[in-house]
Amino acid sequence: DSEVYTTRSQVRRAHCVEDDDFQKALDAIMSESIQSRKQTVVVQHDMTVPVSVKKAMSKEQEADSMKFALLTKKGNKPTLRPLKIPVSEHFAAGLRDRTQAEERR
Amino acid sequence: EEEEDEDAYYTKDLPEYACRYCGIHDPNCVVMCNTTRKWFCNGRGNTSGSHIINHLVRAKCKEVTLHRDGQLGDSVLECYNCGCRNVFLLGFIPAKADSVVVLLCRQPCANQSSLKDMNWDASQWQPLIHDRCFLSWLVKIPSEEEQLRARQITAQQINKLEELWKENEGATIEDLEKPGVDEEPQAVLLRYEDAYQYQNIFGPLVKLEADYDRKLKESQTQGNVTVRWDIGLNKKRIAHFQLPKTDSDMKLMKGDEISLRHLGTSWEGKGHVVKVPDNLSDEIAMELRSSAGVPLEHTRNFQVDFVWKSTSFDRMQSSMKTFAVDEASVSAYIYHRLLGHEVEEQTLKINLPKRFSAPGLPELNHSQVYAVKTVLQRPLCLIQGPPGTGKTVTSATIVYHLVKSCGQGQVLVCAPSNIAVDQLTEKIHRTGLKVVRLCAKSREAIDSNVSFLSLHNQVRSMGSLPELQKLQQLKDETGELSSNDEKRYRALKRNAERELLQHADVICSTCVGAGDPRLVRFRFRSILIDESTQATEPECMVPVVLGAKQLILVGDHCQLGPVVMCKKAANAGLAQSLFERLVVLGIRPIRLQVQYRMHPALSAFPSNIFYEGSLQNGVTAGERMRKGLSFAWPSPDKPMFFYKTSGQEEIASSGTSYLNRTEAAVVERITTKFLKSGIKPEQIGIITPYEGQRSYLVQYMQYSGSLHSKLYMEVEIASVDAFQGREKDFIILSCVRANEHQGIGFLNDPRRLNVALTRARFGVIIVGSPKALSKQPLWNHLLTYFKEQRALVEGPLGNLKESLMQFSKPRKLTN
Ligand SMILES: [Zn+2]
Ligand SMILES: [Zn+2]
Ligand SMILES: [Zn+2]
Repeated sequence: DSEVYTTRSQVRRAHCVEDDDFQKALDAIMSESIQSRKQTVVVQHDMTVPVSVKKAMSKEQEADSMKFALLTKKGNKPTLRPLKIPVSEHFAAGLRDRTQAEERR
Repeated sequence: EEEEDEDAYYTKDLPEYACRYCGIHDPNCVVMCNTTRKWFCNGRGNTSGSHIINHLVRAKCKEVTLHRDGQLGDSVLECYNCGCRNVFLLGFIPAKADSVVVLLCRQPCANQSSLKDMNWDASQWQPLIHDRCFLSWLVKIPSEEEQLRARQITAQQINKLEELWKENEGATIEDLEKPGVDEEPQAVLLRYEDAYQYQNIFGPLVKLEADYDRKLKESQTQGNVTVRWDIGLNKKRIAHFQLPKTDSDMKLMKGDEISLRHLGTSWEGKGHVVKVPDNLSDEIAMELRSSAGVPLEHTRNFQVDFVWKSTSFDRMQSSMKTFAVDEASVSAYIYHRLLGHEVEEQTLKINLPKRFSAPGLPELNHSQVYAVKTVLQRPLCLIQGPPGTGKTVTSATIVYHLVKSCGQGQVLVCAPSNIAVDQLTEKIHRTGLKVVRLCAKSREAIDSNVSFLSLHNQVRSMGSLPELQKLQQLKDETGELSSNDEKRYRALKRNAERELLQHADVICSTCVGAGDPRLVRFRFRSILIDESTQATEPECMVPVVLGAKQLILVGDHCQLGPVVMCKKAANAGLAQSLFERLVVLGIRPIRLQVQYRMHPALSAFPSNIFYEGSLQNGVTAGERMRKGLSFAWPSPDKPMFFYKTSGQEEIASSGTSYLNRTEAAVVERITTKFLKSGIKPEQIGIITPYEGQRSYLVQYMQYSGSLHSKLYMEVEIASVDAFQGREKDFIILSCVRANEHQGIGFLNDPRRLNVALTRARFGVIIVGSPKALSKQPLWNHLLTYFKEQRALVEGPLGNLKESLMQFSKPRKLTN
């Protein structure tokens, strides 16, 4: 049972059978979950973002994160909940570049 | 100082949303598991996955809710389109133009083609769980400092804590330190102070076995099952299917409860097994409890789950409790004898019958008469019945006299297995006594030769209750009753059952079945337990505590004992039967000594090795000689040989069992010879200790046997354990194991060898590798015996040649 230091952190990560078992079990749950829905068919609902709520979103951005919104349903009504997403997320950075390019134009 | 800091962190009162592993309680960092309603953080600590993922995986939970003070408020994570909440399926996609994201399940929503037309970029779908954590923008990952300050919990501790929660929801990590959590269980004793000590030792062992059983059953989920629909004679819906992995520890039994799910429509139906894989087909049949809504239009994509039921274990626990707290549960004499206390021997004052044989049963021999006579006069007796000595007839005769001559009221007769109960029920019925066979409700649909004696069938044929019969008929025809009718039906049935039970001379059930609620108010002065050496002690106690003043245990501790699957419990002594402990305590079993099964040449070795040479033959060689065989026995007066092979053992495809192709080929040739000589397939039994070899043999004989495949199908091929308590005219034993160094596994148990050698009436053939087997002392003995009898042979079956090989030196017995 060796212990190794991860490069990024001070928390020691311990390798052991129990942890290996956990990793295997996680992989199994993942694939079993997908397998179990192979035959599932669902109706595609309308997923457009309602314009009214879209307008209410502010455009200010911070240096290392972007303001996003998560589209959820409250009861049956589409609702947006504000959400900060770090620009380290590929899609967030992409969107920022696009918006900035548009603003410059 | 740092340590104090750490202590302070988790000893102060934490909010309910603190991570149950490490104590971190920043609302942005924690998530609640919807199933267990416990909170966990998204930090990894020193494990490879975050605490919440560790929990979900280990506890098999799948849904979570965010904290209300976090940036998204208290939302349940779910697919925006279909509402699926399985976090292992959830991911998100961003909108093409707006800074909006939405959660979608991977299957099918993110793959739906209609998404393409919309404003969403489905190609960007990413799972919410990445690198074994929730995405950090969804659930914050606690900082390094926070994690260092929190409790450091290891993967081992997490594992144990999750285990503990299965029994005690509120357990904390501190409970892990408490004594008893991870220790070996206390071993069984020979003598016990009192019934409380008895309960305190057996209780935890039964619990261990129950937990093991539960885990085993719950881990047996099988997907991708194809179903064939059918309707049973009782109008109930039947599902037939095959399971891909049957080659495991788990033996599916008739009456086991299982659940069938259709993954497309999410229909789920419960029911029980009415057929298990056998020689004729590998199919399992399940009778559904309700036919409503069964998706008959579908045949594919079903999943089978095994439903674990605690009933039998609960009954054992409760019987031990009764033993401890209820003075009337057994007589004082039996109480002290069972606990191993010194008590003066007692004799019962009864009028002995003039004739000991019972009507409808064979005349008894001298050792059987002695057994019956002795048993009737003693409050506690053990009868040892070696193979073929008429144990069942003796037991049935005893029961007859208990009812008729001794006037002891109703007698309770039990055995651990349903087969043994049925056999005994049939014999007792022949004496003319009024017998009721009490079956578990889940086994009512299973047919047996004494079905007409079972309580539910006797209720059906009661002429005195026209209303009940009318409702029964309606139920049989339509499958279901209106709720009012059902109520009425049940009440009438309950009364009828009570009446039948009250008027029976003898009630027969399995040991665990004696804990049936329908017997709760019954008291039995005399109790006989057959095959008691195959029951664990707590199992035996279920009938015993129903009032035993006279207890008769029948069995044979030289044959296979109880099956205990949990190693820990078995090692602590749960695998020792009550019968065996009483033998060790000095109660001498009365041994039945005349065997009527085996050709005298076949009984010699078992008699000498397992029964101190005491077994006498009640049959002559002439009565057990089969003429016209198309091959010759090496010695004409000894219908047996050991066929030497040197083929290699292999690991079966399941990876958990063995097979041996060379032996299979030899077994097929011998079987074919037998069949060609006019021996009927049902007269032949093939015993092999490995499931891998069993299924290989079935296949091999079907495809490679030179006769019609239907003939081979009717030859029973099974494990030693499956043959216990039964006989065949001819037995072929395929040993399978043949290796240089690994030993012979299963075959090591002398009791298993005893059972294997004593099943045949007319002839025994052993196929195996003497080289590997002779390393084990007992097998060395057996091989030497065959060699001395000039019955160790090799070569073609038509021209067997004596083998003169020298055996390996046996290793010292290690166990
Ligand atoms: Zn949970
Ligand atoms: Zn934590
Ligand atoms: Zn979905």
